[in-house]
Amino acid sequence: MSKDRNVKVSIENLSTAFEIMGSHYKAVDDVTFDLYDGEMFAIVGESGCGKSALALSIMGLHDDSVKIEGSINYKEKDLNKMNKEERRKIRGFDFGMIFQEPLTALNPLVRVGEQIKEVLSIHTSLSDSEKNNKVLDLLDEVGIPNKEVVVKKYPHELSGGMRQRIVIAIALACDPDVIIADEPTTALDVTIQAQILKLIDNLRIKQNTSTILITHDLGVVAEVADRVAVMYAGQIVEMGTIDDIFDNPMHPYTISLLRSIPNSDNNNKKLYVIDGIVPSLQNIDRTGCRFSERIKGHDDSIHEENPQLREVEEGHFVRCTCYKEFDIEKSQEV
Amino acid sequence: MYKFILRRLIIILPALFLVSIVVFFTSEALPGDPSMQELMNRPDATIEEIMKIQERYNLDKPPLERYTLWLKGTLKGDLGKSYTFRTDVANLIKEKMFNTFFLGMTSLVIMFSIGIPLGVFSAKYEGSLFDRTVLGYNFFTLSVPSFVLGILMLYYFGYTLGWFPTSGSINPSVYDSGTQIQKLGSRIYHVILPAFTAGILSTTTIIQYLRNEIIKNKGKDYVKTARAKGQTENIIYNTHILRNSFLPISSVLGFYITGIFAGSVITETIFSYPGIGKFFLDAINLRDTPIVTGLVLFMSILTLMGSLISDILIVSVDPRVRID
Amino acid sequence: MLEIKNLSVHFPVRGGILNRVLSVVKAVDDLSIKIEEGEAYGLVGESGCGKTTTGRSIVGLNKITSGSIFYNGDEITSTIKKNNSPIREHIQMIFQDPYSSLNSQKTLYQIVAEPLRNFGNRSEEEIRKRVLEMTLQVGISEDALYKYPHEFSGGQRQRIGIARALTLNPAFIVADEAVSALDVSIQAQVINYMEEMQGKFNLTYLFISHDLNVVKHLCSKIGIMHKGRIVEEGTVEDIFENPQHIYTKKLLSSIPTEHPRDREKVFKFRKEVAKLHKETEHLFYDESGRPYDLKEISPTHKVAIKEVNNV
Repeated sequence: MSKDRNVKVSIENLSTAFEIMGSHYKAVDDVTFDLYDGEMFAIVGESGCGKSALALSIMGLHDDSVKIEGSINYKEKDLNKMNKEERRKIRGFDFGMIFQEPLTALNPLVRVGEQIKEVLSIHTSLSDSEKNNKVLDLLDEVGIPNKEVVVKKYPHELSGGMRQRIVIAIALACDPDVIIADEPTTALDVTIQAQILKLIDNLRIKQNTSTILITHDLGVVAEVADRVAVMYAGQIVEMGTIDDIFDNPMHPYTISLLRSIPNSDNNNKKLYVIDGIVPSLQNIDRTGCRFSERIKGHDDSIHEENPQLREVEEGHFVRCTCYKEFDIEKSQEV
Repeated sequence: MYKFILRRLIIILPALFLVSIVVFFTSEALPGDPSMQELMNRPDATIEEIMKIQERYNLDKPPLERYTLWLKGTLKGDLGKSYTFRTDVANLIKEKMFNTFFLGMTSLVIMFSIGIPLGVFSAKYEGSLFDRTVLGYNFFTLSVPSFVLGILMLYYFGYTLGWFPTSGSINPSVYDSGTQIQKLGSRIYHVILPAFTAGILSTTTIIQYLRNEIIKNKGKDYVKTARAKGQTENIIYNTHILRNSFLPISSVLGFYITGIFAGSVITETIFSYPGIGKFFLDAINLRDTPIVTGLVLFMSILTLMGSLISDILIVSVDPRVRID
Repeated sequence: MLEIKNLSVHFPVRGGILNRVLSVVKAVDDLSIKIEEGEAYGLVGESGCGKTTTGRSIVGLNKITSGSIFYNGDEITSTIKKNNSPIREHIQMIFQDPYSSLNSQKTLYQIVAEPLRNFGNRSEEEIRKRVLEMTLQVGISEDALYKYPHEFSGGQRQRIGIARALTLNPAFIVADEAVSALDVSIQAQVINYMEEMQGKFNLTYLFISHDLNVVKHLCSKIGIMHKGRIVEEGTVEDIFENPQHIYTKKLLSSIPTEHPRDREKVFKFRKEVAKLHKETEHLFYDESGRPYDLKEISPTHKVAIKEVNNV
């Protein structure tokens, strides 16, 4: 599937390090992946795995104290080497972003129509009436009824679902090539979640926008993703098509995660519990397999000394060799 | 909007009524009245003469009747006659009020024109040398009482350097025969020292408020959204962040206005500036109850108006505050 | 064991000059629930449906507009509000956010010991013994007794919250979104733990959640709440295999796909439900949009519907 598609963004050896008490710690550690044309690429992981830091790095939204290494190649240019002004012009125009919390993501003092218009003013030379028309078109596109009324509303006057549609309209305003959605439905009710996911997916298909969907929810992944990367402690531990991940998960972490959510298979059974806790940023052991200490019932020889993300099947990548020996039943018994 | 203002004005009425009762009867409780003064000045005054004075000021009537008489007069704009100056309190206050108002407004202008830029820039360059200098300035203005700064200013700029006048609100000869522009010039010349004293000392709160708000708003999600839109840092700062940061300031602005008037007592006394603050102090010393009552009432109205102004400002700048 | 009869909680919307009550929000509107001993009752609904208010009313954290709450046949509506009422030993609550619900100034020991000090006259020795027992029960080692909440992970904090709720040996637990704020792997741990405790202490749960998967896993009986009312109530099978109310169907259809192969099926189901919603809304809600009263359609299954024969 991936062979006949064009690479839209190619991320190589990307690291994002935060400064804590004078030292830098990598929250994103050597991440490499390609984002294909028009695909829905999900990045899934628990809090603290670095998925949001990765999203902000691609958008260039970290402040200056954050050290970013590696390259983000887009249209034959490395975004990471660009100066601030060049980078700014790409944001909102080529790359749009959808945030988690639609209420706080909007300026409380500005009418929502104006907030959408702001993007058009930055990146286009449209006349005022053209911009107003474009705003109304965008509201149509994100499925907002009574658009003439809604443009004049303030964020607090709209429901959570409507606000998120406004945030999506802002991200879409300049027909970007890439959309990064960071937990776009986490703050919403389930019935709204389904609608918003569908909307993001439909817009992707319609405009052939490559979308990176950041989430902690495997259900959201199962619903819309084409390809999935699973992150743990700053690294991608497994990456493959949606079917690879759900039907043939290989990395112990992916297998464990899938087993720990309540579903129709484990009803009335004990849920699988991953031993230990997610290490905090300063406490990540950066030598060897980062998941090793959370695997029980296996000896350390199953891990690689310097684990690499390898393509084990076509398009299916797994980090470390421990997947070959890992037996979840054995890990649970101990 | 006008409905909201009207409704708020209606709520003020019962509050004013209560204030009038409290003000009247507390100043009633102050010892001394003109008949006693007369007695002190002329120990040989006859009972009849004393009775006559008491009659003139309605002092012979029971307190409740005196209150209704006073209230009726006040509603008509007649605050009674001063014991010491023997003229209408309203007329006496009018002159001083203008002076105090002029001083208050000038110090407000000084306060904002110093406070806002210091607050805005110290927040923008948080942690810089400039920011730390402003912090030091804040400690200074917070810890120096107005009478100390006032006396220092008076001594240095008034007496030692002789740049500014040391008392009064206008040059008497200009007051008598100057043109309008000369009058204004003289007034400004006289107001500068007291206004700076009051203004500089009030900058602390505004700087702190603004700085905290801006720093808080800098980290807000909508700022991230604006960046994700590709907005330039300057516009993000000047429109998104500043607009949200000025919001809480507008809510205390009304109280600043009353604060300026209330705080004028000390400044005006130090600079012998003929405003209501100094007048108020004098009136208390002279046991001139009608003046004290009139001034306290005036300050109360100002406070109520100040809170009304604040409310109107909040409602007009923050769409989240609902009027009904 | 616990019965809620015709509970209504109305929140006034105030405004105007004299702060008059302009209108009321019916957070809970004439709601009745019966929970049997040893049962785990799942109360499910979206934000604003009144499920949290219901839970808080049971433990006396809310003003009740009307209705009554019975515990083992005794009315506790007013007694539960009194601070030292013995009934408080029997009914405890676990909150959503394990961080803000624990006092950050107190150590684990103090937090777990607090209910013991509030009720009954226990000696320091007894309290110590009980605290140790409870913390070991929730899988926290003895050397952590004098740590503060911020030194624990999210899952541990939630388990401390559970330990505190269980120290007095309560029989009834109200758990309000107890696992919603937790990461997947920690959530699994807490769910398992709550199940284990239920077996061990014969606890009765009122489990309030928006997550149907979690409720399905933990509960034996489910009540679906919408607009302050129960719109459908039944066993897990009744609700999941034979949903009747349009809102239940809407919720079920909104659950994210479990496996990518189900996508088409789920999307089709959602479309059907949306269509059905338009066609049959009047059978479930009256003209003012209020859900009808519950009607029994089988011994275990009740639906809020206009006429039973509409089923």
